[in-house]
Amino acid sequence: MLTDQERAHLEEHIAHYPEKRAGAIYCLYFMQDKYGYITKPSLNLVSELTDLSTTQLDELITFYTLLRRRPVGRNIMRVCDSISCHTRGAKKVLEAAENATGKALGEIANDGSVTVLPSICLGLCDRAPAALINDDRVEGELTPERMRMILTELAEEEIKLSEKPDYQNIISMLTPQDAPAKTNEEVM
Amino acid sequence: MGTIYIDDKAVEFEPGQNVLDAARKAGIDTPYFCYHPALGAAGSCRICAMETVPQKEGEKPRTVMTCSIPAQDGQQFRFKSPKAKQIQKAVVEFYMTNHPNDCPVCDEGGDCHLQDTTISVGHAYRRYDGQKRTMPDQFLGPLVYQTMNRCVTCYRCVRFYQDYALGDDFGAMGSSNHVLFRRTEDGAFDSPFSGNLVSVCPTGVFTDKVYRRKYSRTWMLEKAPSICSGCSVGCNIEVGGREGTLRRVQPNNEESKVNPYFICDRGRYGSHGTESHSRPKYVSEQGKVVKTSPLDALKIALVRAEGHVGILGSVEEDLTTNLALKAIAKEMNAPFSPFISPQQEALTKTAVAANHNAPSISDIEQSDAVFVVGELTEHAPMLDLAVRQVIKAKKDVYVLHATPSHLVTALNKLQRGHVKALAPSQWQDCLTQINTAVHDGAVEDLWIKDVANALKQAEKPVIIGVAELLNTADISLLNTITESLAPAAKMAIALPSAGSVNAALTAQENSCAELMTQIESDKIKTLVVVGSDPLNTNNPHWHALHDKLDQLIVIDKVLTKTAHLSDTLLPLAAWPERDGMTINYEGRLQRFSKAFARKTATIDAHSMIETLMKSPETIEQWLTELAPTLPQAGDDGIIIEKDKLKCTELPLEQKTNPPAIQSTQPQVALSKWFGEGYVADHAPEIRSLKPGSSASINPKLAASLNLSNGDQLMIICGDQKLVRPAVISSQVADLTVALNQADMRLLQADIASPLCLERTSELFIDADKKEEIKNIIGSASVIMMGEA
Repeated sequence: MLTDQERAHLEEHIAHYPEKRAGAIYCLYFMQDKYGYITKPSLNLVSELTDLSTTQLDELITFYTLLRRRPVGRNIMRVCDSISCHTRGAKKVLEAAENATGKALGEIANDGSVTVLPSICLGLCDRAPAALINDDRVEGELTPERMRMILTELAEEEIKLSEKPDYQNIISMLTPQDAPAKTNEEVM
Repeated sequence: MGTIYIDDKAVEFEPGQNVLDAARKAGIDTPYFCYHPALGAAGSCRICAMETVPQKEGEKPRTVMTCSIPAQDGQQFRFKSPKAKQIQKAVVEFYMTNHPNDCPVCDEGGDCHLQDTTISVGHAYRRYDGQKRTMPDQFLGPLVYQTMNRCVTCYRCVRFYQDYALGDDFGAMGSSNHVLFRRTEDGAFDSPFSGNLVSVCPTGVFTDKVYRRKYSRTWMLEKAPSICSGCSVGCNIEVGGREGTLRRVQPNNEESKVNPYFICDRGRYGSHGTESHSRPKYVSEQGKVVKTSPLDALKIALVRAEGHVGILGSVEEDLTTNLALKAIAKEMNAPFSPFISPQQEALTKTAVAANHNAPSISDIEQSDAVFVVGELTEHAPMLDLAVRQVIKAKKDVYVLHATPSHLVTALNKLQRGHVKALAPSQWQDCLTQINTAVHDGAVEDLWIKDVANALKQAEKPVIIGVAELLNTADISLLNTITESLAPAAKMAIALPSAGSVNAALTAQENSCAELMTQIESDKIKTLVVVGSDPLNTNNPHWHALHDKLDQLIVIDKVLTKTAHLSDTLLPLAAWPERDGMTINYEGRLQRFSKAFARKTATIDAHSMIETLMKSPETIEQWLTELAPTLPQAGDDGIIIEKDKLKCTELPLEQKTNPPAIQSTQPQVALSKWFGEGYVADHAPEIRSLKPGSSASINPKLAASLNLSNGDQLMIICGDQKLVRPAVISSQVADLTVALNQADMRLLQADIASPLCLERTSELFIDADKKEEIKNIIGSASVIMMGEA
């Protein structure tokens, strides 16, 4: 679940607070970043670290929309639907996303490439309607066409990655040269 | 004490009360949702608004939420001002935008706080015609039914479940307009107090699922104040019956000193055991129904016995029944005992005598250090709920136990290291050491030092023991410890059953031994058993006695094993079906009254006295001797003077101490489940939650036996053998096997009987374990399924 180092890091973080439970959100984010969402074993682990029951952690997770208990695609796209973006056509952008992925908002696209989520104001009103991809890439002045383009781009990213000529080489480079040759038993 | 003014009316308040509390006590019909007298206020519903009256020049009237304002002398409020009224009306209208108008099909209809408030505030017409919010309902097991759409988000349920009862499998999920109150997974609640969600919810989100199956509108129920017969706490309940059947049980009296607002699930759902299909309803002789009245049948049977009669009362029955039986026995010159074994008699009498200074539930709640010996939740759940209030107040609570308990789980969450699991044979030693430590003697064990220090430093310490798990020496040790603590120290022993005190007070010295000897020496040929089940014990003695009898007459409200074997079976009235009096663990004489009559004739104490006795005054006389004024049904009862509570004679025969066993040998510990009881065992809904027979052991013992969870374990006790799946739990003491009462009967084992354990070979072999097994067996070939 966690390496000793990671566990020590979380314990150190929790020790900053007078009450253990104050560190719960940090730990939950940590687990989410590691696994993409908060799995049941992660929940038990955080419960053990912070002295909160799993129900109390679930209360916390359901309260905050940025914490998730369900798996998501490789990329997460949050499309703002608050007032500024709404007036500039966020609804149509979201509809386009639903049509393009063939899935309702919040579900994983068939190829696993993306999950599109509606979001409250992202603070990007000057570029409305706006979206945030993977918490770091900003897309502004969205139109349904632009949305379809972005989704296609995200879907093709993986294919491109596998088509890269040096992809296999990279893996072989990462393997230690002096690794002992596999015995017959191990291969079997 | 002080005075506040609401609409110019003077309202007295106690220190610490808030304005809403004071107004409610003064009879002002203030609306409220999130406030609950036991749970306090959350300030979330915004309906208890009142307007302040300016006290100084230049000050303007303000709107305040009265539930979150402490009452202070001289404050003035307007409850009926237009502004306050408008807020109340708007808040209800806001709640009603989402609330489904399903009162006609809602179980809460007619008994609903939201319905009453909506009408009293005057919201009659809906202006909002948009879509209502819809919420998913959750399956919550056989006891509680959920309809989430009706929720007004007062948070009372979560505040009760998590904050008051310290449960952790139910919570508030989501935020803003999408709050759901649910468990993380579908299924029954873990808490023994989950039924209170029904009482606590101001609307119909949580409703009683058992009542739902035989539903009746509240105004159609025949209701009466009664006393719960589930355990020795004697909770005040309101029983609702209709058409001769029990429909609903709920807590009764907000002013009660025993249980103001809550009851446990055993009380609420276990009482329905008298409604089981197998309940004796008619007179039956040799298993055939006879068309006579039960009293006539009893009379004829007694005449047939020609004076060779013995009467066995019950520790489950009330004072009136046992007194009546005693008086009848005296008149017939027959021996009478309410106990089924001399051991039970000795133990009950010792425990009752030890309870001369027992704390009430509110005493426990206000105590500043509690020491619990035994699994309290499983024996007297409402005492456990009181202890949880002490845990919550961050006062020290220590528990000595042998088997898994709900209280241990709750305590472990908030107070680390306050729990000690010891095998039953080591309890006496542990208590002796605590006694030494309390008397400033030297003790090595740190935990024992902690317990002794906490008890010594406390001003109002409370010690609670569980009679069924202790022997007489343990009880007297607890007594000695209590006596050397602060003057306000109190001790309670949770007694085995609802009528333990009644039985102890009515029984003569060695009554059971006397009764048994007389059967053995053929003086008695007919035995009348009332509300008791002697043939279902681990005492083989009774089976031999049964063979000696010519006639076994059983009068009971549930179909027990003894009733199965009876010659004549007569129906007995259950507590809600008759008047009576009982005494709880603290010596509180309580009266209960008849809520409804069954359609078929039943026997009760009063009718027995009338038909079988020539001079029926003896009982009245005895009762007036016990207490000069008798209680009324529904009131708090009367505490009997302490010296009258002392049993007639203290037992001569001490309960035999467990045989000395080797320190490496495993032993039996009794593991009860909180929903068990004489009547509750026949209630199908709560019974369906009962965990299956298993042998709980701790991880250390499991490792030494090479067992994993669910493996079959052979338990050997003397000549008896039993195979049960092993359940590994860290809450079980080392070298202890936690078994339920039925399994202990099968093994003919007592608490702390030594055992031998063996791992049984597996009946089926997993395909993946093939290799492993080959290694174990060696060269012998193992032919697996599907292998040629």
